[in-house]
Amino acid sequence: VSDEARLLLERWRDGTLDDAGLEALRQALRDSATGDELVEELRFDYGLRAGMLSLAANEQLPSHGEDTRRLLRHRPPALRRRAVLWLAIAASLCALIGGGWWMNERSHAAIGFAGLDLVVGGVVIERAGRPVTGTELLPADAVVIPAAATATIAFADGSRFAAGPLSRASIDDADGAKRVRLERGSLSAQVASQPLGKALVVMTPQAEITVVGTRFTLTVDDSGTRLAVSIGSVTFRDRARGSVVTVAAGGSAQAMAARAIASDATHLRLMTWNVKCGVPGGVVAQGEAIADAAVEVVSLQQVLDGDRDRYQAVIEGRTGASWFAQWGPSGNIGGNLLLSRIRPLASSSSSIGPNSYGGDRVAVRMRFQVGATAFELFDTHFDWDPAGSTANRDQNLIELMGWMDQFSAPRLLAAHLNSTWDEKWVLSLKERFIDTWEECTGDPVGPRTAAGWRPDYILRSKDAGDAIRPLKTWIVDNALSLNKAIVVEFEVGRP
Amino acid sequence: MNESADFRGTSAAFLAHRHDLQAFVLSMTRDPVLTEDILQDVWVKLAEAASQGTRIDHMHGWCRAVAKHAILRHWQRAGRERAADAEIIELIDGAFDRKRRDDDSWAHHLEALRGCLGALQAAARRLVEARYVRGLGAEEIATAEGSSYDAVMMRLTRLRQALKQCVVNRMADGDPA
Repeated sequence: VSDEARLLLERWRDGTLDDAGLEALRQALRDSATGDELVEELRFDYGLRAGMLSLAANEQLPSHGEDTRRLLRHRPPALRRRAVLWLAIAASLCALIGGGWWMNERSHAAIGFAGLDLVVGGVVIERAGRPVTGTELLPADAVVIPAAATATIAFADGSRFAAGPLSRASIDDADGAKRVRLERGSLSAQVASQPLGKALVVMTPQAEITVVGTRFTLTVDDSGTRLAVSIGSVTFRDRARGSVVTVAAGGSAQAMAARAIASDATHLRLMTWNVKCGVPGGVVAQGEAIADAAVEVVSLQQVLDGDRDRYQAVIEGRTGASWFAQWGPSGNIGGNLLLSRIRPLASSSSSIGPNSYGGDRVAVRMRFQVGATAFELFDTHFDWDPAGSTANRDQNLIELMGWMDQFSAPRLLAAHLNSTWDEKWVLSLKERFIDTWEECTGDPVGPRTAAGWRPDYILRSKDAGDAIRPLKTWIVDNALSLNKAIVVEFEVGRP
Repeated sequence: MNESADFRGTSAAFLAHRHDLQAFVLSMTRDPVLTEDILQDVWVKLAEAASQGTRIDHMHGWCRAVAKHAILRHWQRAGRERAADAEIIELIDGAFDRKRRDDDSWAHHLEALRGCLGALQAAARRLVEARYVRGLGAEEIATAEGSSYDAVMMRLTRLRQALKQCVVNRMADGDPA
């Protein structure tokens, strides 16, 4: 492509091209051969940027240990601080609600459509993009709350929205139905009963909350939208995913921003370990071993109910990072605990049928977005009947498969299956999954993670393709549990 | 949270051509943050369309169309009427459509390019980083280096040519790493 054409393109993108230059660029682009070559130049520019970023990320290796590339998108310190601040704000608002703030019957009644009440600090009302004085709010007005300020938006029907510092909210009327849009910050709400067919809707960049009459707290920050309902129930729609759930009193829901959708490839280390109720090494030593393994996610089995918070605390203390947990209790033998230093998009647990030691066996899951790839991770522990029956394990397999099928691919399963590689439970799973140990080493039997055999597996779904690819695997050989841990390093979201 | 096959398929298709879409948006905005925002908007709109069962026959074009509107809106808001030349955008869009590059091609290209960039000397690497990662203009780089605009442009042009040749060689050797 001629230097002249490229220069025209550069100047057009800089906004410095005059009319003659614009026409010359149009002429150049109308010639399809030149146009194609210019586009290849543009692609090359993008490649240079992506390549440099990827290179820089790969070179950020820790100076100790083996190849522990932490290319996951950790939030920068400023965002972390902001997240902590918002947590504090949300907690404060909840405390205010608990303290009876909502019972304040002072009648700074809304004027007309709505008004501001309980104003602290320099709150601004914006109308058509310009600040206005007073406290009256009209449809399409926005309320801007700076730092160290708060205000309550009070509607004429008694519905009230307490907005926290650094919030921006706007209100509107849609044929008699109230609309509140929270662009950032937090709102705690008490909503009066709404007329039939005129439900109040609160919108955020990620979610839509339909309210009939309730109390809830809503927080929006860079990572997404979180809702906690204290009285009544609301309908919560994740705008990106289209999923709709009804959240009742005491419940919560979240819709995370799809920020990482276009990021570069990342590496993920996943560990699975049956900690055997902390025996013999104890929770502290086991937790430290997990932290020292430099994994991003760990799938634990046989964690005693009283120990689950301790594992999290030890690992957080050792790594100096926050970890997210999902717990699933399982009879008297200890439950399943997923711990992750990556914020999950969603998490839940489910029974997978009977447990020979009482109660149910359980599976837990987390959904992640790492790099460009969203995936599901499952943790479970199949039954082992001391009387020799395998009926419960059959049921565990059926229910686990049914539950996992409810979620989109790709999927990872990190589990203690109480089965050898050639038994039907593992073989059934391998119809849809690949054993990553076999994939990395060519050995289907695998390492002796228990006394002389292997009941522990990290499997990936066959439809994961290259989206999640194991690079290497190894066992963590210590005497802290009767079982050894398996670790797999995956490449996720390869560009 | 049972996602439909349509939604999953749409997600996969979007991810499979995200590099080309990102290249398209970045080429016009030259602003990585704005590019990321626009990509998120496209993704959200696509996800909404998929969840509503909207049939999209030509997803690449559909995504670029949404992105184009977002870019135009941004330019108009920013008072860059001259840049917001619909015909030029259409012509670039047409060229992107004529010569599509799928994700596999991007993967090979980027892998080769990474190898080439890794072999650059420090000064050359700083120049690439300033221009293509930090998005500095040639004039800004010249000022920072105490050099001239023409000298910077010349170095960039030569560097690009060398890198292109390196990519071609590596891909031909089948040893992109």
